[in-house]
Amino acid sequence: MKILALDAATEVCSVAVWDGENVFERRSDIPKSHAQQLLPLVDEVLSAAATDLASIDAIAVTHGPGSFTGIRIGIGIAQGLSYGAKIPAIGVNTLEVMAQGYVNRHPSYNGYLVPALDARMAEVYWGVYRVENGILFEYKAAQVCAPENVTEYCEANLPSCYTALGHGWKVIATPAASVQVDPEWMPRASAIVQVAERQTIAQIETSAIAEPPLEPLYLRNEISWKKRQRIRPPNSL
Amino acid sequence: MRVLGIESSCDETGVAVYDSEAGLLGHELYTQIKVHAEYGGVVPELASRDHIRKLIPLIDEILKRTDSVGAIDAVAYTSGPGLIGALLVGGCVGRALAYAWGVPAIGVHHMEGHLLAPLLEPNPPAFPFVALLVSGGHTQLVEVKAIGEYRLLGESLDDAAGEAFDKAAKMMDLDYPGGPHIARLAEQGVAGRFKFPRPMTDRPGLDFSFSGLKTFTLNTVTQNAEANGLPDDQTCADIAHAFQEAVVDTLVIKCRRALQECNMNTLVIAGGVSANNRLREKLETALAKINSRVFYARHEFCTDNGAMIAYAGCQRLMVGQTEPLAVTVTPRWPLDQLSHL
Repeated sequence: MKILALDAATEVCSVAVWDGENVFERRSDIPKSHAQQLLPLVDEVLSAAATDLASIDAIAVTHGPGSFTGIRIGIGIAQGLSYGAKIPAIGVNTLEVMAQGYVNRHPSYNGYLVPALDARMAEVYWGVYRVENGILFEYKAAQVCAPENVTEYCEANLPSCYTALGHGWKVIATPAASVQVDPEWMPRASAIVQVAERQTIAQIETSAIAEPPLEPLYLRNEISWKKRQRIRPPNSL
Repeated sequence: MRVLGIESSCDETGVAVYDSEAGLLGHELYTQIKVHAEYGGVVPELASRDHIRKLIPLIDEILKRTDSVGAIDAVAYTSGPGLIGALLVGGCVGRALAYAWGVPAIGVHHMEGHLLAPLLEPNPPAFPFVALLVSGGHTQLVEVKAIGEYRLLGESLDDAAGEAFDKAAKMMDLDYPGGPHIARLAEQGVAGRFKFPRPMTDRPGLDFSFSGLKTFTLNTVTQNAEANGLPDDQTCADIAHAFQEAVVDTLVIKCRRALQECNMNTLVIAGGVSANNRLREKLETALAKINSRVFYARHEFCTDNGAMIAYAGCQRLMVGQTEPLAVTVTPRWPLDQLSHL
């Protein structure tokens, strides 16, 4: 199974190809240029893997949480490739991809991972993952809330030595010294592959690859824009 | 050459297939008006969210309906000016589609799309001509020698004409977008009850200003308001009439002046406000007197649509212009910076 993976959900973007044996990856950390970077990276990484789009079996993209514009750039490119080349596409969670990347880098890690991204407006996107023998499990689903609530939850529910990942931790109060904090940890496409593989196999097993498949996971949906006040009912004149 | 056109610069998701031999094969439009009407204007984040949901299903529909599955030779998408998040959706989907199909792509200037839309009609205008681009975002007079050869003659120094319609409508608690609602209400209005100014027509030049007219409208509404804050229905109609006449007369005076300055006799009007019937009627009468003619697109192609993007893109693609794999959108992009064909 060959998987093409894309991530543009945060300040960095990357593309990876898993050809069944090896992962090929290309990254860019130039902010605010994901739309310019992503498709050239796709082309580059396909060449590096000595394959082409037609040979890809599935496309996976981080569908959120993250920057709304970034998420849509990733999904927009993935939608175009998926529809154009008739390849099924799935969305994967950015926080899970961050956690998976950590497991890839630290294969012997056992315990809890708490990836968090700064969501602006005094909130963070975060979730909790548990790693057992190199396998990642979702422990607390991704959500958006005030940084204080993350501190509160972690103190009450996690052992004292979890690992905190991502720039969300720049706005969450510094945890106890026993917690390892890496605020520079970012998602990367090479980690999408494992997440996608788990998800795709699960979806194939339940034959539930949806069409159209890609919906952004914004998490923040409350409308902060002001609705207009009407005097007479609309369309009455 | 068969081109898929994608428009997503503001609050309409439009797609179309244009064939250089057979002409326009079809178009589809999803309008977000209802989403934004509650807010009295376009909310950019909501616009982007809607585009990404609607675009692929619309493309699928138009390709099947025009029997173009597997037959598209190039993709054209609006790359500016417009809302950056909204433009990025059409740009990313369109560019990636072209890559997957192995065909070229081109980014199209939204206002060039509008400007060329009347060329989709059965008796199209011939170059050169003067174009009035008049919408919620633009009010510009442009000298058009050929595709890509544009010279800005004048533009609004503040609000666009369509924006003035929207704001006047909001003052009288009418729905968004305001143009069609003001126009409908104006039909019941009594001419002459209110006299509105024709801004900047008493001095030379081809620039516009509509913000003073907006203030004048607000003052008139306030002075005639009843207990609920609004004038009675007939007074609203009379204000709508006076407002529309003022905007239309101002546009007509400047169009006539532009034709005379350029020594041309063809005027093209494009953009949302060019759908206004009163504007069309008054231009026809005024231009007939100076042996000139006005051309415009059918109503559905005055507002944003995919057909004009497919058409404009096709013209540039046919001379070999294309876009690299990088998706670049330009939210602010003067028309006269475009390349010649």
